[in-house]
Amino acid sequence: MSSTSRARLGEEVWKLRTDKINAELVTLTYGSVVAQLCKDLDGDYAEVNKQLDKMGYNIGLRLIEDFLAKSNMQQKCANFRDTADVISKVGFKMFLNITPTIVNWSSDNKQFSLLFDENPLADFVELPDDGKAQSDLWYSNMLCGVIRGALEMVQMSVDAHFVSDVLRGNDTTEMRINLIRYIEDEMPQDDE
Amino acid sequence: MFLFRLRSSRVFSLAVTMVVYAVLILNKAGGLIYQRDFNPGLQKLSSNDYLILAGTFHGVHAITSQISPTNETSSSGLEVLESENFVMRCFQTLTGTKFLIFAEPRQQNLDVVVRRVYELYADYVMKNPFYQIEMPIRSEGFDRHLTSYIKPHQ
Amino acid sequence: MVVYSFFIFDRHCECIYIRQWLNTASATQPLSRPVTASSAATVTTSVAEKPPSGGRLSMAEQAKLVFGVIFSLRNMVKKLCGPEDSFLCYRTGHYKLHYYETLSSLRFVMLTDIRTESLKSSLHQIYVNLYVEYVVKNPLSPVEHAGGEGVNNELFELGIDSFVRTID
Repeated sequence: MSSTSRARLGEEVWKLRTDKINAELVTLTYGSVVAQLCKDLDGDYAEVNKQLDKMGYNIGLRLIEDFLAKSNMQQKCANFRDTADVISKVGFKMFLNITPTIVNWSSDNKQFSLLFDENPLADFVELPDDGKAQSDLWYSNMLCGVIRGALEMVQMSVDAHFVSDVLRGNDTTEMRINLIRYIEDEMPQDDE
Repeated sequence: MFLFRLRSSRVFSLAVTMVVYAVLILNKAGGLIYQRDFNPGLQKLSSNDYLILAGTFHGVHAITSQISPTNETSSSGLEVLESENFVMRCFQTLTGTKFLIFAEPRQQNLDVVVRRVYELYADYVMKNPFYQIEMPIRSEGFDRHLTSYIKPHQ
Repeated sequence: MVVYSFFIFDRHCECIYIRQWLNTASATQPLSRPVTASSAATVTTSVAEKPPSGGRLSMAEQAKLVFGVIFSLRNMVKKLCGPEDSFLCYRTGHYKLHYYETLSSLRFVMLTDIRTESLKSSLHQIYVNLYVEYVVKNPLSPVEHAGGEGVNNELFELGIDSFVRTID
C-alpha cells in the first residue's frame, strides 16, 4: 500500500466511519484527568507520567481492534518504516484528525520521531509555574502508552517517549518511537 | 483386464488453464514417499521441511475427522484446503495412502487430476515388482508420465 | 446453509468463546436453544443438555482439537506459500471449517455444512461489528479474556445469534 493511498484511507475513515465528538469535550476531559492526577500524586510528575502511560497502554490494547476493524487493514506492514507511515497517516488521522510528520530515522531503521505541529489534547493548556512541571511533566504522555499498547497487540514491542513539548517551551513537540523487537507468535502450551 | 490396459495407455492431457504447483504422496504412516514441484507458486523448502510437513499433515488429517460436528459414524478427513494463494486437494485411498495436489486457487477439475495421478501411481509404482511398498518412490516411469501429464508442453 | 459451531481463540492460543447450534437430527431439545459455553468451567450448566450420542467430545476437548488443527494448518500454509499467505478454509466429506485471523492474532473459526462458500468476509463482519463493538469497547470487560471472561456478554451473544440467522 503506497503512502498516498494510506493518506486517502485515513481521510476516508475519518470522514465516513468515525462518530465525531465535540473537541472541547475531549480537551477538557483529558485536561481534568491530568490535573486530577497531579493533585492526587502531590506533584510527583514522574509518577504522573507513568500513570498517563499506563492508562494509554490500556487504551491502546483495545484501540488497535477498533483501528483494524475500521481501517479494514488485512495485510501486515512489510517493515517498520511502513508501520510508521500507517501510524501517522491512518492511525492519528482516524482518532485525532492530525497527521504528525515522520522524521529522524535512525540508520538501522528501528527508531523514528513523530513531530506534532498540532495537538488537540493540549489546546489552551499552560503548565503550572511551580518550577517542576516545566521540566518533569509530559502532558500528552498518554499518547505514548497508546502507541505502545496498540503495537504490542500486533506483535511489536516498542518504547515511546516524548523528547520535546511546546508546552515546556521547546520549539517542537516530538515523540521518539523505537522498536525493541518483533514478538514471536505464541505457541500453545503443552499439556504434558 | 485388456480394456483397462488399453485405457491407461491413452494420452490424457490437462485442460490448458490448469496449473498444478506440486504433488506430494504420503504413505499409511504419514511418511513422505514422493514430492515434486511442477510449477512455481510455492516456497522452496528443504526435504526435511517436507518430511515434517507431511507428518504434521497426517496428524491433522486424522483429527479433522474427529471434530466433525455431524453425527456421522464414519467421518472422512480433510479433502480440500484453501488458502489465498493455492488450493490443495487431499485424496486418501482406501489403503491409507494420501495424495496431496497443490494447484492455483479456484481450480474446477482437480478431482480429475487426482484420479489420474492415482492411476499413474497404480500403474508405474504399484505394478513395479521391485518397488518396496511404503518406501520412497524412485520410479523414472512414474516421474516421466506425471510430468508429461501435468506439464504437457515441456 | 447450516452453521454448526463457532469458536474464537485469542493470541495466547486460548479458546475464549464457543457457540454450538445443535443438529436437528440428533437434538432432543428444541433447536432455538443453543448450547453455549465461554469456558470449560461453565460447562456444568449445560451438562443436562449434552447431545445423546455417546462418542461426543466435551466442548473444551473439541475446542482444543479445533485449535490444534487450525494452528497447524495455518503454520503449514505460511510455510508452503510464505508469510503473506493465509489459510482460508478446508472441507471434509461432512463439514467445512472457515478461518479468519485478525492482525491482532485473534482467530475466528466457524464450522458449517459443505455447501457453504468461503465465510471469510462474514467472519470479518463478526469481528468488526460484533467483537470490536460489544467486547473490545465494553469498558467493563477485561482486555485479556482468560477462560473466556468478558466475551459472552448478552449483546455479543444476541448479535452472533441474529447474524447466523441472517446468513443461514
